[in-house]
Amino acid sequence: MEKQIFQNTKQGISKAQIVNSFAASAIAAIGVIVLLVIAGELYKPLKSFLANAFVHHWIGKGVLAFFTFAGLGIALVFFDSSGENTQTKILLSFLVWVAVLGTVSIIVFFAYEAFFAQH
Amino acid sequence: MDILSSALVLHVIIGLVGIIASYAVLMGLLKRAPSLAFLKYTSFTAFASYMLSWLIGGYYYVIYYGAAVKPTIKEGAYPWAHTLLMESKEHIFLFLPFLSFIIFLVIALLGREILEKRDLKNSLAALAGVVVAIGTFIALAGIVISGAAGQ
Repeated sequence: MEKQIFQNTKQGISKAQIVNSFAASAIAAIGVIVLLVIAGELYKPLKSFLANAFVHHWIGKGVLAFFTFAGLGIALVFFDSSGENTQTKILLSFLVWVAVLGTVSIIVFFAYEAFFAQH
Repeated sequence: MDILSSALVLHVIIGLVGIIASYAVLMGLLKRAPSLAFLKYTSFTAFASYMLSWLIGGYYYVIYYGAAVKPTIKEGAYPWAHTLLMESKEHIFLFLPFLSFIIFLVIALLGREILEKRDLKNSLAALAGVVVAIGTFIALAGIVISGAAGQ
């Protein structure tokens, strides 16, 4: 049986549970970044709001992604009890694809903005 | 050397250290019998480098780039160096601290399982490969942006 590292919780929290929670929250954080980048360019008031609230829109995107990652990761550690190693493999594979698709989406979007969009 | 030039140079050097450390993680994971201590050390180095590069590069970008470098590039011969490469680079970079932290977390907490379970090790190697690819794209984009700014 896998070692529990927080024995003071009701059922204990396994290491795999911590990894799975933060892998899921990393997927969400990357989703938030991609969403804020594309939505911010298409809807300028959002970009202006981020710039006004966080000094610079880029800082705003980073701060919101960080809080999504940390907040969701911590919440999932305590509320999701599925600490299976098989899930870890699936979540890591999903994270790979989200990172690749997020990268491609941002590059294609800015390529369109740079060469084809009428502003 | 003023503080902005130092920030730019440090950002480049620390970013390169991060890419090299991520590549070391990838190579370590591809070995038949990886060294857990080596993987822990290199994955933490990669994570710490991307965090530092985020702070130092962010300082340069927010304080100086937008006001002084961006207008020069956009009025120069290669405006796409900003509109395509810089816009992509500055946002895709935000993935790296999270991805590198996950790699470090998996190695630190599930190190033994990585050594025993090949599919888990391969999934982590794929993630490390993505980090190396993104880091390399960002570094190459930085070279083109610097070239465009110097025209």
